[in-house]
Amino acid sequence: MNIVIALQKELDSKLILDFVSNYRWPAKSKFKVVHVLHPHECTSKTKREYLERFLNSFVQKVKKNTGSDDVSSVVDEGEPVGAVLRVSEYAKADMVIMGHDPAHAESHKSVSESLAQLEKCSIVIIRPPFHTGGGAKAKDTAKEEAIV
Amino acid sequence: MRVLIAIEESDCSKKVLESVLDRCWPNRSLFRIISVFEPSQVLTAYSPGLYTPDACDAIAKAEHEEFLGKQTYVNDAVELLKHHLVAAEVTGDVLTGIVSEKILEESREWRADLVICGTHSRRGLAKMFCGSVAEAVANNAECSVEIVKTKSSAAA
Repeated sequence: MNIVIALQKELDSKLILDFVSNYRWPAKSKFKVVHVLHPHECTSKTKREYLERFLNSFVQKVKKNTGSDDVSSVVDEGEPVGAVLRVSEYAKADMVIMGHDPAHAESHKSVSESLAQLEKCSIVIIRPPFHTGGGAKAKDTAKEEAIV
Repeated sequence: MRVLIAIEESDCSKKVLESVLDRCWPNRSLFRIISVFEPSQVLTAYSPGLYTPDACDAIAKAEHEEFLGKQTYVNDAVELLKHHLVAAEVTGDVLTGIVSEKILEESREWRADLVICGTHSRRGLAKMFCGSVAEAVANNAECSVEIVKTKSSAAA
């Protein structure tokens, strides 16, 4: 099974890791973690290094918690929906896992909303669970906590 | 973990149930399987002048059969999950109303952590007229949502 994890926010990483760790994945499952940088996003060398460290640490946690040896990460640049579609198509993804993001002001659609519509494989949109005080309120406060 | 599973009598719902059975769940997980019966507006809004009593009876009978069919489908799904997920608590119900609204309402009232549903992946005109329940749920739910797509639904 090929799984793509679209990771945009640090807060999402904990929730996504929780989900990934609790799922009984078939043997030889492959995970590809993708972070998309917006073309206009300011990425200094320090921020890039932090991002790489963060992704590497996430990859190690996924490896440890799932037992899979085939976990890699990629940083793509461009419009997020197109970039995730590109990566998932290239990886022949059976499932895309991502956090929920607020609607984009111009298109009135969030990335997760667009991907739910356009993605050809199963998609999981992760939000904070109710028992942790999550739900809509947590969703709103978490919107600007990007990794870099 | 509280998992709400929305199903209907279709192949993609079979895939949804397979997906649920195919993984391990945290201890003390609760599962609630629902199917939503959407009654036709014909009888309530237009029947007095437009339809003969026989036609109204036929529609009402067909709808009742559809409701019973959903009830049987949900009961079977509950039994299936109980059989495979021995430690889990599984309940099921058929709700009445607009499908996406009922799923969202139930997810809030039951305080679901995860909603799982399938999708027909309609495109173009079919989507314009029918909409997509899965998309509406994914966009408006207050908890995590998993949309299970089959190869055939994805190719549609």
